[in-house]
Amino acid sequence: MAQLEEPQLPQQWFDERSPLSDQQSISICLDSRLPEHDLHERLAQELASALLVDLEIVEVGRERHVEADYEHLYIDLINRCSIYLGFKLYPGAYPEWLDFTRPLYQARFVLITNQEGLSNFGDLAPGSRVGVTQGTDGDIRFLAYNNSLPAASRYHRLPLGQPDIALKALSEGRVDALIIWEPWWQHLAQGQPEYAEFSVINAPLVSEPAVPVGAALYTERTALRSLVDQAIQILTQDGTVQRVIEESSVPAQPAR
Amino acid sequence: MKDHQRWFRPYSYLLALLVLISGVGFAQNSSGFNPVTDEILLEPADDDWVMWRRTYNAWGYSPLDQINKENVGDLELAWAWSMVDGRQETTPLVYDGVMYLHNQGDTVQALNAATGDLIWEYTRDLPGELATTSSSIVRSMALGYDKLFFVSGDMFLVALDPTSGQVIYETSMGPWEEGFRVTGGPLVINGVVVTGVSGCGGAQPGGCYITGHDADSGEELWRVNTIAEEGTPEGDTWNALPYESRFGSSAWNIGSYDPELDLVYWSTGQPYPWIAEMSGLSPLQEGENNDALYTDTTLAMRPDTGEIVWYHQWLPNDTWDLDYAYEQVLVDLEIDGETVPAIVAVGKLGIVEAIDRRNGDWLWAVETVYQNVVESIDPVTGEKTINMDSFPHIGETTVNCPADPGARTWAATAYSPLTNALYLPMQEFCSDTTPNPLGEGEVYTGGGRATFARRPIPGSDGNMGRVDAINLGDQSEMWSHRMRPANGGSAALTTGGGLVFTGNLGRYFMAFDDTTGEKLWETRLSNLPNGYPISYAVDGEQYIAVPVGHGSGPSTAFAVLTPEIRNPAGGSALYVFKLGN
Repeated sequence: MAQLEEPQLPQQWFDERSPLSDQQSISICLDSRLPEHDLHERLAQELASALLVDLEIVEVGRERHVEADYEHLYIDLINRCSIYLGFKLYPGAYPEWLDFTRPLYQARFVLITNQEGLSNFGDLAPGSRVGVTQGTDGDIRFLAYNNSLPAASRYHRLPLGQPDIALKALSEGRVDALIIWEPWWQHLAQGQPEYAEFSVINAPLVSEPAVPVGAALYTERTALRSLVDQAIQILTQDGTVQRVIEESSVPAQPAR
Repeated sequence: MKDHQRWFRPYSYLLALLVLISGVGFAQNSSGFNPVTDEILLEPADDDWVMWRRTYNAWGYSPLDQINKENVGDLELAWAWSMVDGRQETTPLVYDGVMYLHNQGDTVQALNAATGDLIWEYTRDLPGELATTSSSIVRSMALGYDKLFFVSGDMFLVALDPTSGQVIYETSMGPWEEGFRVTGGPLVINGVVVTGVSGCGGAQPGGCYITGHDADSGEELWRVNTIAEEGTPEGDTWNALPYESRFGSSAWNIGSYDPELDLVYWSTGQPYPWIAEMSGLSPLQEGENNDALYTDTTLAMRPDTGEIVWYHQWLPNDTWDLDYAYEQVLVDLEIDGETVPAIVAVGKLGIVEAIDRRNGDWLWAVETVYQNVVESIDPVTGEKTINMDSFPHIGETTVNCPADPGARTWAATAYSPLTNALYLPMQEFCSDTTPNPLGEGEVYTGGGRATFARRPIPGSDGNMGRVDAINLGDQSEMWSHRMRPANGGSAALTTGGGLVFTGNLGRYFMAFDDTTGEKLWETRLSNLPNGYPISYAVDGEQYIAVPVGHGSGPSTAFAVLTPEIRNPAGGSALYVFKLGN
């Protein structure tokens, strides 16, 4: 078997039971740092029901809230949880020791503003200040478009590091419009009512296609992936996913 | 007087002055510990290794010569010590016959350096999340006065009593929750503990920083952000990005110090995110500059205030993760009949470059491994012309050589005054670079995403590793030893016995003739020589010590390119060798 570029970690860091040793339950990692956490918890409950097994929720709950922490993710997937909910399914963007289920739902990046008269992307004049949550797929889509324009026709892209910083920049008028993951916007708007007043600019180049979201698991767990994929398919077809999404405050749709 | 000590000697008057003004006690304390005075830090005893690269000039050179070219083949294991498992990139320190060893998870041990007997052990109670992470490693601790300094995984400058391991004080250096950490370690200069902070990947304005703390009290005396401040000429080099959108410039390693010029030299890494189109540094806006100071830059600072006296940027707008954040080797070079105090530095590109350490003026450069990023270097200014075919773009795949872990890594080069040569452990490989989307706030991914697919260099003969010797007098290649296993993360050590020690990913630890490159000795260890080898002596007996372990990025990057090389995931240890009877 070919070697993977996997984290090399000491065995004593893997001191809990294997998440696959008990066939009567499934352990699902949830990340409290994500805006879709509550939706993920409901979906985890439905997945366990569909698989006819008990559910063990593993709250990741890390204090460190930055960086792609692949080392801890690796430990979690080997050691603590069968699957880890809440990964945007970008082909080729993750380490090869990670595998993914089929999507549970899809959501979108949106272009939002607090300025009047901006309904469509074409309403934004060249040179307008467009904030982006840096490096995200919505940003990349916009970047690819903006860089294809003649220099005089480009927008002024303003990269911002975190969703809260980005929304604050829009609120304070430092950008004319902002590209952000819609669940982040809605989540942070719950604590900042003025953010809820922002409006969506129709911008298919940013929002389409929607981004599928699924669960990650260790790449060698092919049988588990197959079972979970079947469960997702059933829950999607019987309308359960649609119902759970509607009961949540997350702007999302079942995956197509 | 050995050659290596020559450049310290003219400063003896300065030493006397420092002794008078530092206010640090020099008498042996009640526990029998002889304080590590400023004088000792300026000129350590041949037997000792009291800081990262042993001396302020970062040579990585031990003048001990009992082990030499004639007898190195007689090296035998003196003792070994199992270390705490996990990522391991450490430097053992030795002073007065006691070895101080930092382990993963902030366990510090004092060992009898001759026998390996444990004297004391300190283990920090880290937040649970940090106990199982590679973040709580440091490449070196530092001895100074009556203290042993290190920076913990939870970002405290900790001063231990070197006789007992008791905490004397601890001072927070920043929020670890934001991703800040110290991978290098401290350098003690005239009563100030200077430390570089890295890991500023959490989209923090100002980037990383370098601090100066009062060695006696732990009070923070100064802090210099590694991203130039707004409103300064240097601050206007970020392509009109606002300050809150400028990220990166990690100070990954440890600096050097010139006591005559009273300048400490510290270098930095690249902007974040790595891809310039994501960071906003490209495309270049009309009328703007996108050099992104002070990334990939050597800063020359006053150790007592942090004042930046000059700077030299090695690679503007680095979009390839080609850090220059490594050791700054201080040597005096003969150039056109003049002796020039110089810094010799090597970034991940493997290009050896020299600048004048009085003012940062560029002197010369010499290439080593194959690279395709720098097309040419101006022979007068040192300005690099970039091969834009290697410049990553959104939606495209480009070939970059070397790959992001670098032709050289954090594993330090070493200089020998016997040969006036710099010895570089390196590796040859490239990557197919495809920019991929990041998650919110993940401006620094640590290379974790599959953005970089490794591949051999064009025309590779299958050898991935090499050790080069570059004559700093005429910049010629003295010798180059090539090998199948990559270096991985094994630093170099030079000695007065005319030897160069280093290792490779195949778990080999080797000794080379410093003049000819002939391999005179090798042994195979239980894991990678993944740290900094040192040499020291106790009671007239010379030892070579090398930590082994696994887990660093460079050592895992070759899993695809040299799949036949398999090493244990755990098993950190320290091996100590001496001559057989």
